[in-house]
Amino acid sequence: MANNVLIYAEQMGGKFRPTAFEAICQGKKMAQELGGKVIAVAIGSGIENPEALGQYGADKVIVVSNEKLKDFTVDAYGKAFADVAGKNDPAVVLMAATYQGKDLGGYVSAALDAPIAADCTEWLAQGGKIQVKRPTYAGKAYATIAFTGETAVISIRPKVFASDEPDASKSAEVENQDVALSDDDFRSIVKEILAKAGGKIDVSEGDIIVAGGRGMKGPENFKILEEMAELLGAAVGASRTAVDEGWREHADQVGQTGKVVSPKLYIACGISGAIQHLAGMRTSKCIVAINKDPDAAIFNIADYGIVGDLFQVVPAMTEELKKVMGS
Amino acid sequence: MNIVVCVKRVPDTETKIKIGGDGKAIDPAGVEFVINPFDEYAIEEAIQIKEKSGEGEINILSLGSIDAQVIMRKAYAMGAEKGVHLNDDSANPDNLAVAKSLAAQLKEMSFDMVLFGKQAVDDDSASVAVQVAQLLNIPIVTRVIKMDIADGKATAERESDAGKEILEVTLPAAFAAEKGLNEPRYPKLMDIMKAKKKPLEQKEAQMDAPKMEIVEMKYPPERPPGKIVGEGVEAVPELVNLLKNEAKMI
Amino acid sequence: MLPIAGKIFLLILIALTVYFFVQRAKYLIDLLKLGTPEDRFDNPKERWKYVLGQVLPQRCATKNVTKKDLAGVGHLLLFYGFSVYVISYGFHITEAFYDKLSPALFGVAFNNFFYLLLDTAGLVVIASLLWAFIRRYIVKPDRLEPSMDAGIILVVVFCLMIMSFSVEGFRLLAEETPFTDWAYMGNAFSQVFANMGLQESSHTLFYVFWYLHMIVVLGFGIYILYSKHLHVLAAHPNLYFHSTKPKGSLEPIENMEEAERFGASDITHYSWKHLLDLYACTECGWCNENCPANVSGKPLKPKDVIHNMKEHLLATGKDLLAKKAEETQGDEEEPTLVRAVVTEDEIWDCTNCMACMEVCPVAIEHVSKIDEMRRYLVLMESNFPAEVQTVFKGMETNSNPWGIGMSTRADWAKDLGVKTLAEDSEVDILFYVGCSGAFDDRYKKVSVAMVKILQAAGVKFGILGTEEGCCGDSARRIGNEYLYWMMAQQNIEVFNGYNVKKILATCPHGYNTLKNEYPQFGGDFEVVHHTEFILDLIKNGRLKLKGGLAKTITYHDSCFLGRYNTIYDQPREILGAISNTNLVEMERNRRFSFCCGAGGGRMWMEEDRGDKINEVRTEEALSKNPDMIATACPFCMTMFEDGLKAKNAEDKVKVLDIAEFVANQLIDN
Repeated sequence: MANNVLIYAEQMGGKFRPTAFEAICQGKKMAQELGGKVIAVAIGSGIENPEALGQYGADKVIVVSNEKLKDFTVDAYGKAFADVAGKNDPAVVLMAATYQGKDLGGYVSAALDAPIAADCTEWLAQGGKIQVKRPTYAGKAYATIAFTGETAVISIRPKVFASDEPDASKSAEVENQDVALSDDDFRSIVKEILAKAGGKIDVSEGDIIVAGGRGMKGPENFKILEEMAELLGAAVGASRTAVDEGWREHADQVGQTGKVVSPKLYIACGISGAIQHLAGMRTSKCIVAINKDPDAAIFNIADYGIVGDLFQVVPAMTEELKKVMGS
Repeated sequence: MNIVVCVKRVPDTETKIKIGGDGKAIDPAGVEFVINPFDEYAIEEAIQIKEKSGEGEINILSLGSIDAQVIMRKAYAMGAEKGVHLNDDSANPDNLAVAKSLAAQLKEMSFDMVLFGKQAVDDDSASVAVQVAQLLNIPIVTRVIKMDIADGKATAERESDAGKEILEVTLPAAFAAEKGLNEPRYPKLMDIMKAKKKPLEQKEAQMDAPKMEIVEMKYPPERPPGKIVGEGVEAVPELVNLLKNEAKMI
Repeated sequence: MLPIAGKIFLLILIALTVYFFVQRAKYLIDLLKLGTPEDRFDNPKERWKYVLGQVLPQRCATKNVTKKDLAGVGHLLLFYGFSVYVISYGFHITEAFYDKLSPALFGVAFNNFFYLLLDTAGLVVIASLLWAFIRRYIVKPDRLEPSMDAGIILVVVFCLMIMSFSVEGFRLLAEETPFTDWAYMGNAFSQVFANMGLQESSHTLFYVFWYLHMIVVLGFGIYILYSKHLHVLAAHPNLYFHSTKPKGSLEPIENMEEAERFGASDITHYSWKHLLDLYACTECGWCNENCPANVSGKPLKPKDVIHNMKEHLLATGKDLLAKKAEETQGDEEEPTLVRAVVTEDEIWDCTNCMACMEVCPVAIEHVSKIDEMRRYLVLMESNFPAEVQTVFKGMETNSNPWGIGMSTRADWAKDLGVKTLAEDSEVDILFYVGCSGAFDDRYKKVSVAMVKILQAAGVKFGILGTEEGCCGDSARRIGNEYLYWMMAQQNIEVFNGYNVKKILATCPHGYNTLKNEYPQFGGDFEVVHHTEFILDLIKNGRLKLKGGLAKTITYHDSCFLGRYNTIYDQPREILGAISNTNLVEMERNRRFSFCCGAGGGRMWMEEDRGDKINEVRTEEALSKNPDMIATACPFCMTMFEDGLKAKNAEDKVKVLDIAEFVANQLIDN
């Protein structure tokens, strides 16, 4: 019976990503429950130090290295990954639910004829099998899922599972494997990657939005929001008042008559929280409000609030974030 | 250019979710159902591609209960010509079974492109589109925010961890639409009326037995009521600490 | 009596006049027939009463008279003066053929009196012409634009009066026995002519002037059909055919399932009455002066819309008639009215505040014209300001314009001990909360205040909770009749399901549409606004109020409450009952009240043309230095609160709903 855990070890530019370590750490724990081995699969070209995955718990690392696999495409990577998986009889195929992981999960599930549970936030061993918990309905419910087949494909939500400290004494066995790739596997090719220019992020695309309202008092003061946004990789948004006053462009406007956004984190600075604004951002996962008026409606919807002068609080917060994020 | 758009009927994202008596699924009573919002981008894109090329037809494919036809009519009102409804009341939790059923139907249809939403907002799995593409052995680009069609090829743009990625894909191919791809149109009343008369084929879905089951469905831990962390600058370290360790946002 | 040749000449003149007049009139009437049918022939008694009540006492012209603008009085003088003249021309013409039919026929006294009246009328007309001249060309108020038509008419009528006096003068000079002694202007002119030595030629000059003035009079008869003075003829039927429906209610689209087109994109999509409106326009500019869009510097000017539509109808009329004759009258690919004549900006600028219709002297229906074009844009082209799509979708899926989950609709009432009709349907009145009252944090406080009042007065009431739906007003006013129709249907079904008889609404938009528009879909309920209801409670002694709130308050009339439903006094009386304060009126109040800017679906649109209407209105309120601004509408409240913030006055001046004033004054039992 299959009892190995096969893990996709995501890399970028030859370097493994932290989410790969998170997946391997969980994979190791699952393998302990299942009594199997931890096999990491690294796909790409010019992959550095695959043996180091052993420090996180991989028993073996299978490397599929090929010039043609420089950039991720689901067809080619999926083919390679499924090929390796098919030969290793896994009970669990595991990956982080990143951009790549989500694509790959679906592909492998179909290729192996195995069910998939994506974006899981918890798992448990039940009767010698792995069960997972995952959010559904945008997190309004959590489903516990049991698998009935031989193999299950599981992707785990990034940053939810902490990875253990690497054990420098350990190293994994590395096996290079060739996968036959035909032209058919390259019907989609990456033509170009426009590197993040660190430029302005659109409010409708930002995972984090730092927004300012009337309390900003003038266009020049948005600099402090921009500084925080740059640090967080966030977009800078604005309330209707700030746009009406001409402090920001209409494209930055969040609200009923502007953009309706739903970022992970929304930091509202000097925004009172009139319904026109709330209508555009109230589905944000986490809302932080900074406002001098303790009765401001924004605090009714905020997860965290600070009552105070934003001109002091915001720069202090940026400094604090620098400390925390630098560490 | 023949395009098939796969659409799903899902609870509106604003709807209050109530878990049913069996503790394994939601209770649909009182739930407002809509067309999956990401699917609307797919429909809109299909219409725009068709309008640009001036030929071909748009077929809607939906799997689910009989009520799926309501949202199919919405897709018709936006501009699709016809469609197939794969009737299935089983609420099969295994999206691979769903993908297989869709793929089997798609094999009977002629298409240059199959469009999906990047994920359905009910199970949020984002798997079916890729599964279908794999089963049909056609390439797929997910999370597409921009696309162009020319000479049997598509150029698609999407966000990746490294930046904006531009892919070239040989057709036939599948695409999964991300928010930002376009602004879905609001149908004209005349088209809403016409949509009622467009052809809709209903078939029984062929479904494999699920290989996974939901053993339990629960509400998430109650979101703690918002809290005022404190006043002024002194509260900043605590706020940042909460954001990092409680909310896990940074 | 004229010589034979003269009679023939006059006959030819009259025949020509009749010919040209009838030709033009027939053309104008044919153009009206291009419009769609509409029944405005019901209730002739009431209609006659209305038109006579407007025209005879000149209410139409004088209803807008203020100290600052007395033009209506001028019109009244001109109207009466000139009417006397029109009658006199009848005498003149008949007299020319048969001199027995002169005013003298009725005796010397009548004759004398007739000429006394005629000369006085002439003087009155000249005085009013001078007045008009000074206003139009020297004072130049905003609402009047220099117009060729106006200039011509002033000069022509002035000449006519001078000629009439001259005719009298020469006749008095020529005839041995004066036909009257009381024609004091005629006598004065005759004196002047005598002094000029025209005694000899007076007989000839009499005829010359007589013919001249007949030519001018008859020419004038034709000219009015070609100019803005068409209103002299069209205003009366237009007043007669005025809408007898509830003020400002929009007409439903009949047979929506089968209709081939929706709304109006071409001029022929309007009913004949809407086209008659165009003829009736006097170009007085009252509508422009009171239009919030125009005042705030936006492209929309109601008068220009009407005028441009009229010009368009007249310019394309021949083609349209030809097409109709060939039965090729199909719908053009590109609309010939929308965009070509009335721009999209103009169409979207309208707040549906109905100020234009309120001040219009001749019962023109501007708002429904604009809303018909909106219907075309929304239903046929799906073309509307982008931000409106969120509103439509929110209403479709969650029955409120913000799209907030409908399951939370009753959350505001959680801890108030309010029962839903599902829990207890034996109530005296249903409190229809509306979307703002249910979802907007600010206006939820008004709902809570209303509940306190109802509970304090011991009213047996209930709410619908999550069964309540959006009233649909915004959708209808934006032009999405289909969506509105769905909202109305659902609500009516729910109301009827609970056998609801009486409904209380706080939002004037819901109040108006429930009361005046739901009957179109079979929803007949007694609907009261909270200002009416609260005042009744106070008058019946069911509320104990502290009174003596010593603040300066200014009350802002909501358009949908005031102009749409004539509720002006109730809120003011309530404020009077709770305070011994200074209730200061803004410059523009009651029927002249200036819109907050949020009606007609403008609540949901960006305002990127011109000044912000709410700020204009807020400034007006602030100029009265109030401590508080009283409103009775959630939209007005939002607009004022935003306005105060923009003017950095939110700490100084508070906006409160009438219900909040009352709730704050309740004496706890």
